[in-house]
Amino acid sequence: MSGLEVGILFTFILFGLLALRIPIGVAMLTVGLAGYVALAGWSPALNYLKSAGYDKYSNYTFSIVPLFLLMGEFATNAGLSRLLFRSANSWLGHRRGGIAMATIGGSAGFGAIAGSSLATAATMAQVALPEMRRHGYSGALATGSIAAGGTLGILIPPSIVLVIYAILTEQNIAKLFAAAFIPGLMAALGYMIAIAIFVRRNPGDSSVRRRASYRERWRDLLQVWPVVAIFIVVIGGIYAGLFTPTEAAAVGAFSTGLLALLKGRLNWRIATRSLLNTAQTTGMIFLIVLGADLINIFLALSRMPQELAQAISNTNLAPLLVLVAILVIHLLLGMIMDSLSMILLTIPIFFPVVMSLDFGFTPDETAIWFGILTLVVVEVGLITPPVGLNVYIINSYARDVPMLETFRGVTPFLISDMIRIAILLAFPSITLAAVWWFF
Amino acid sequence: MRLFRTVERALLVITQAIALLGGAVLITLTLITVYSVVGRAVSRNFGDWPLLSWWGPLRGDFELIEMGTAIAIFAFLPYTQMVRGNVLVDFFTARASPRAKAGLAIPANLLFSALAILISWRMIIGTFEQLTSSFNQTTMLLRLPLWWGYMPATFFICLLALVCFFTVWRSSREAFGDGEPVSS
Repeated sequence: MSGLEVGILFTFILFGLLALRIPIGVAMLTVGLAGYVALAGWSPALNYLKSAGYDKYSNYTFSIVPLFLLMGEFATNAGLSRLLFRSANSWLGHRRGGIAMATIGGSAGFGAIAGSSLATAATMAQVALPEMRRHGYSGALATGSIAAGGTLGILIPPSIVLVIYAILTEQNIAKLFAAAFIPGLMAALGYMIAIAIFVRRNPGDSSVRRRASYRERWRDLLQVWPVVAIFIVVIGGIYAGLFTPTEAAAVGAFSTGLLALLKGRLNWRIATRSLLNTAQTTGMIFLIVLGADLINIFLALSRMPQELAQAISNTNLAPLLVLVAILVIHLLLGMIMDSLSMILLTIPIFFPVVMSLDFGFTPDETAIWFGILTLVVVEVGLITPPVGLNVYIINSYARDVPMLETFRGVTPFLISDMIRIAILLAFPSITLAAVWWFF
Repeated sequence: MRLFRTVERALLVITQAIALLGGAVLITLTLITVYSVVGRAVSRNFGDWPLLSWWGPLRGDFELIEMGTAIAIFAFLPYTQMVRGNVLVDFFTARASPRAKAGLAIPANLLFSALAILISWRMIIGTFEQLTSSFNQTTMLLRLPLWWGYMPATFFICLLALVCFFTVWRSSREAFGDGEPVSS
C-alpha cells in the first residue's frame, strides 16, 4: 500500500470510531498508535510511550493554554463581561437592534482578554440575554448574536486555537496574534452590520432602548479600564519585547486573578470552581494533543502528507482553488467537530499541501495567512447547524428559545462570515499588513 | 448500589483533589513567572539601586514551567474523564436514546481503559529507567532530576486508568442497570 492509501484507510477508521461516540482524543490515540505499530512494529511504539506524554506536555509554549484558560475564568468571575456589556450598551443600546450590537461589542472586548469561544459565549449569555429579553428582543436575535459574538473569543487575540496552530506549524505566536487582529475587528464590525440589516428586515425582532446621556456613556466606558489595561499589558508586552507569549499568559492570569480578588469576587468556592473548570478544559484539550502527536508520527511514517502534497501539485490545479477546497473541508468538518480537535487533526495533513503551493509570498507569510483563514473558518463551525457548540451553550441559558430559532438568528452572522472569508481570501494583505507593520 | 455510590464519591473527591493540586501548581507557575518578569525589568532598570539589586529574573524559570506544566496537565486528566469532560462527536448519534448512548459509552470507556493501562505500564518503566539510569537525567540549568516530573505524572496516569475502569462500570449501569443515564 502506498502512504496515501494507508492514510486514507486510517482516516476512515478514525471517522468510524468517532461515529461510535469514542471521545476524539481516545480515537486519535487508538488510530495513531495502531498506525505506528502497523508501520514500524511494536518495539519503537512501546519505547516511544515511555516518555511520549511527559515530553509532549513539558513544553514551554504549551503552558500558554491552561494559563489563558485560567485567565478567562478569572475574567468571568471579576465581572468584566458585565462592565464591557454595560459600556457597549450605553453607547449602542438606543439604536434599533442596539443591544444585540452591544453584545457583539462586549464579546469583542471579552475576546481581547479571553482565548476561548465557549467561555465568551457562556459569560455573555449571562449578562446580555436577560437585558435583550427584557427589551423584547426575539429569541432568534438574542441567542444568535450571543452565539456569533462568542466566536470573537478565538478570533480576537489572545486565541488558544492560534497557539495550537503556532505550535503545530512552528510559527511565531506573536506574529499570528498580530495578523488576527484586523480580521477580528472586521468580524465584530461585520456582525454589527448584519444586525443592522436583520432588524431593518425584521422590525418585530427588536425594540428601542432609551438613549443614555453622554455622561452615563463616558462613565460606563471609563469603568472598563481594567480590561484595556490587561489587554495592553498582555498583548502590548509581547510586541514591546518585554516578555514571551508564555510570560504574557502568566502575567495576564495573574492580573485578572488579582483584579477578581480586589473586587471581592474571588472567594474560596469560586476559586475552586475556576481551577476545576480550567482543569476540565485543559484535560480535554491535552488528551487530544497526545492523540494528535501519535497521529502525526504515524502520518510521518506513512509519508501521506508529502504524497498528498505531491499528488495535488501534479494536478496543476490553481493554488487558490486548492486552498478554497481545504477551507471548504474545514467548514464541513466544523459542522461535526469542535475547533481544536479539528485543527489538531487537519493541520498536519493540509499544512504541507498549502506550503507546497505558490501564492507569491514567503513561506512565513503563507503560513500566517493560512493560519488566520483556518481560524476564521473553524470558528464558523461553532455556529453552524447541526452541531454548533456555541449554539448549545446559549441554548442551556435560554431554555425557552427553540434550537431552530437560534439557528435562524445565526443566519445573518453566517452570511457575514462568508463575505469576510471571501474578502480575506481575495486580499491577503489585510491579514499580513499588521505583520509587515510590526515586524 | 451502595458500593457504586461510595466508589463514585471517593473517586470524585480524589480526582478533584488531584486536579486542584494541578491547579495549585499552575498558580505557582504563574507567580514564579510574574516574579521573574518583574525581576528582569527591575534588574534592567534599577539594578544599581541598593534595595533592589538582589532582584533579578529567576534562573532556569522555564525549566520549572516545563516540569510544572507537565505535572499539572497529567493531574487534570483523571478529573476530566471522571466528569465526562472529554469531547466526542455527537453528530451521527444525536437522535439515539440516552440508554443507547450510555451503551455506546461502554466500548469507548473500555478502549480508553486499555490505552490508559498501556500508557501507565510504559510510563512506570520509563520512570524506573530515569531513576536507575547511569548517566544523570536532569534539566540543563537547575539540574533538577527528570524523575521529579515523571513520578507524579505516572501516578496520575495510573489514577486515570482506575477512573477509566470506573467509567466502564458507570456506563454499564446506565445502559443496563439502575443507573440514570446522564447526557454529556
